[in-house]
Amino acid sequence: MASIRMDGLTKAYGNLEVIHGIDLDIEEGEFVALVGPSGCGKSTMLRMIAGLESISRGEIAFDGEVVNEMTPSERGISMVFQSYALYPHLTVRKNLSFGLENLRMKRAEIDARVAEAARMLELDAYLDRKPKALSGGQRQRVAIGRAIVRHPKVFLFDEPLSNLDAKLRVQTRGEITRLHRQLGTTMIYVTHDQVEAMTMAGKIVVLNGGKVEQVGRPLDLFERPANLFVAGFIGSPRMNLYDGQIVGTEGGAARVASPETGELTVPLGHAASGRAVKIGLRPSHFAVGAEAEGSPLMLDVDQVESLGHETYLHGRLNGAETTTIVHVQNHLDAAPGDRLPVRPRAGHVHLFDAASGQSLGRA
Amino acid sequence: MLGFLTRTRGKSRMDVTDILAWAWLILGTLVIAIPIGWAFLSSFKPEAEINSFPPTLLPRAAEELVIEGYDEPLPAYLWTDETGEARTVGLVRRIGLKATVVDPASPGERLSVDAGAIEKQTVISAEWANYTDPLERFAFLTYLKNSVFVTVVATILTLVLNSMAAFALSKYRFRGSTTIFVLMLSTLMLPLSVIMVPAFMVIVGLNLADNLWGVIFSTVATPTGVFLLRQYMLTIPDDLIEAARVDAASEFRIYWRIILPLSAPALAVLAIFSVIWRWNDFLWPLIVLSSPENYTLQLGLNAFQGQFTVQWHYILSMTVVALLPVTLIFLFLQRYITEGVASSGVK
Amino acid sequence: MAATDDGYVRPAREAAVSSGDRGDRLLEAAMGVVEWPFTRLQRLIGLRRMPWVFVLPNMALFTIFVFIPVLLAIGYAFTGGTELLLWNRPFVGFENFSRLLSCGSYLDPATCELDLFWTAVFNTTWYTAFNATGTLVVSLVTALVLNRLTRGKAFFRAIFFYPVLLSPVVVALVWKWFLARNGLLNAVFADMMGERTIFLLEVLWSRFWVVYVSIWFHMGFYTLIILAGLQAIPRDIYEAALIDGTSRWRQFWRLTLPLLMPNLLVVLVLLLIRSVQVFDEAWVLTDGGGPGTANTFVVQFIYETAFATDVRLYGLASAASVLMGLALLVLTLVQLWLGKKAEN
Repeated sequence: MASIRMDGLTKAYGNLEVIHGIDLDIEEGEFVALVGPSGCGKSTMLRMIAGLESISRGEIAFDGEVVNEMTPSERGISMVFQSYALYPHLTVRKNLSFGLENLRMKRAEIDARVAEAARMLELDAYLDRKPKALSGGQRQRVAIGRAIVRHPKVFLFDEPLSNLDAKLRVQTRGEITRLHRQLGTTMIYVTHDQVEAMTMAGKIVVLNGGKVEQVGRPLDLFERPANLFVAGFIGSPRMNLYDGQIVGTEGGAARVASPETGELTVPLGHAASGRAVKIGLRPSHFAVGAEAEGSPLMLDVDQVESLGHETYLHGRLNGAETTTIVHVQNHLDAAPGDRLPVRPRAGHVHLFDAASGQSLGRA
Repeated sequence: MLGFLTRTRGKSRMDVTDILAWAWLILGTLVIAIPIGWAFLSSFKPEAEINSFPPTLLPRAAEELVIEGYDEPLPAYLWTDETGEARTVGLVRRIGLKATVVDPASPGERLSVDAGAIEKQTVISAEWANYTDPLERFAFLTYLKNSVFVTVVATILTLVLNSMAAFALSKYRFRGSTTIFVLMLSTLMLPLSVIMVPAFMVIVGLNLADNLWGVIFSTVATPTGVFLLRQYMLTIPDDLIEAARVDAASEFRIYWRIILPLSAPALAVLAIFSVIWRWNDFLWPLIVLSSPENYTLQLGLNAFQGQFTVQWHYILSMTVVALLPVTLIFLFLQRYITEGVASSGVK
Repeated sequence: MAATDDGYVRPAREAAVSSGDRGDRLLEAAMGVVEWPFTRLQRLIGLRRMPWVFVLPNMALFTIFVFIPVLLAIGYAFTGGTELLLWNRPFVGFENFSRLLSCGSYLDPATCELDLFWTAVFNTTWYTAFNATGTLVVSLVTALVLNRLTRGKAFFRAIFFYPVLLSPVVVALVWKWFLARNGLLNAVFADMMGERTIFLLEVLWSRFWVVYVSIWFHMGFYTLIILAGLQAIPRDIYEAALIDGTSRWRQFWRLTLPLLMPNLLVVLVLLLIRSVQVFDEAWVLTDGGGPGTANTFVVQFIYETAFATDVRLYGLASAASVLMGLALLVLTLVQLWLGKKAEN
């Protein structure tokens, strides 16, 4: 177990800088997800932590000790690769023991550790098979097993679930979370799937273009996105965003207006009138139908996705062009062409500065 | 057979092009097989047979009869007497037009017959002395030993050195790697005939002239082998190497435990080719090796055929010995070889 | 059932695996010995310099036996005398080249100062022309025929490829015997013509057989290359042509040949490159380029000038090598250019 500190971490290939001086602290035993769109630098960052990629500037320290010049094995990390990277010519047993043999560990100790990992991951029956003879899920478990046997200080996962089908993905998500509880090891998990990050991690680091956009607990990111990027990235379906303007301030409150939302009053102290803003409303933060009776906002429904226990309405607010998605718990009887009253839930209106994209607050 | 012939292209009827195609295949097969088959059969003929014309197809030797009262077996002849009756007799001696024969049925009785009435009898037999003599009386055993030594040692060194270089050139990006690779490729087309003289000077300078190691060392760093292995190793995912590094494997261990086992198919192809190349090499050993005790089989064979031009029974038997290993390798591994050639263009 | 050292009880079949395991451990121990210096080295010089350690042995031999000779070749061409060591040889400038190239008329080798060299150049030229076209045609036809086969393809492919693997000496001797005075061909020939011919002692016959044997020897290799090219042509093109009612003849001229052309051109240049270097099998077959100098080729000239005469003229041989190297360089550049063109 180890805490990790990154200080001005930078990666450049020649003149092309892909990671721009990242500062980040990871507590001992934490489960951290690095999330972002493809090309945001999350995998590069993980590989720098692993020691597979050199560090151009800045430093990484494990438990206060700078590890920049250490090899992966010296850092005491282990890693689960996206492709699993199982040695195809070795049996499962050999795959698990290879790393321990490299460390010249005693045979009895190796066998004990392999047996322990096999029991934990239910691999006992496959120990003498080659990876080719395993299913995708079993291979995944071998890859995790190979990481476990080394008793690492830090676990690194590089999109480990992207090769699994949807059902196995949910199941494995649970297994990894359980593993984290059981081992209590620091884990860093890279994914482009915000659902994985939200469901598994204790802390999420949202990356974009080689920079950290926001760090926080899953719910924090959802409730209080620091900027437009995080607002758009976290939460599915995406937050509805509208171009608006502050039309007036009264005491501690501001009136913002957009063609879609009409005029809304939000408690905002420091806003100048006339400022261009983005108004964000999450699909789930609408009251619809009977609940919103009397609201001046009307939704023209274009499409209804009914999943039985929940319903998604795609439509246009106040006759504007922008598509708005509204999420309703439970089933809702609606059909394309319907016109329904909707009302944004109080306290769930997000405001962002249109120019900088930074959050102005939530009201 | 007809069904097989007519099944080309899944049509029921054979047209002209099908017939021409099959004619070509059969003709080609004969053209390839007949000279080799002829040499093979001839290699079992005794010296007297090999020099007779017109030749017989199969190796034959004079038939001999063991007859009571005669210490040596007598050559068998077919004697046709005045009545037209034919029987097999043993020839004791022949003087002028008369021959003395003896009938195995009555060994005590000698008959004097017309030499024109008897005809020599032969049987199909293999003259193994053609094979044993050159190995015992001439230095062919030495040549064979030298060839095996050069082939085995050069192949092992080729596999080790080429695979190490290919590993570095396929799995690392380091300064100069492209330069090295391009330099190697550019010499792929540079034949020995262009650098014959200076290459020999290097051999002399290293004191390796007339030494088997001179033949070995100059052939093991084949650009072809490095190229073939590198192309194969490029298909091994880099993830495996990184996983091994995370697993605390040293670079040499990665090479030995991960890359080499996974490159086995390409290594096998290179091994096969290397054996065939080194076994068949001619011009370079011809330049480097000067004393007969250092000759390889190919050199020995060439020297022998130049010296003893009439000893075809020995020349042919040693030719068969020289083509045997390659033929056996081909029989068992032809699929690897033809596919290796087709995919890499290596020869 | 057998209990193994990891405490598991496994069926007997798997116990066998663990005995293989023991062999594995033995190998492991042996490998440790080889591994140790490398691991130490890695600790000493760091991971990033390790690739150099891996290329070094190969590069060293390569440098000594290929690069240095390439550089030396040029040095030799400009020096004279009979000393082997370059630094003992006097510099003579272009003398070797001017000797090789001085001719009364380039169309008649007899008027040249070194008539043997020009005879060899002429012989190599006609050999290259006949051998390259002959091999190309035979290989193309064979590849087309093989490509049509649905069954037996591997078998016939193997038959045609087999001679490629034989040694030049073996090939030469097999054919020498076939063409000998007592050989099989004469047995048939004498029946038809009433007399025996010693094929390899007659100028025209010997030249014919040198080319014939060479095609026989190498065509299998080029067949495989062309066959690979044919198999790379997508099947559906032919299916489309079939639906269009294209005749088979037209299919060949309008589809197969144009699509195969880049492949064929590369094969042709490769053939030219190899033909220019003809030596081994022709030399043994014709007992050193005979009858007379009818089959003396450039490589033989180089070899004999440098190694097989009492006065070893390394400079002259090297100059001839450099000239041949230049010819090969041109051909190689053509091939690279063709290859690049084929890619686009």
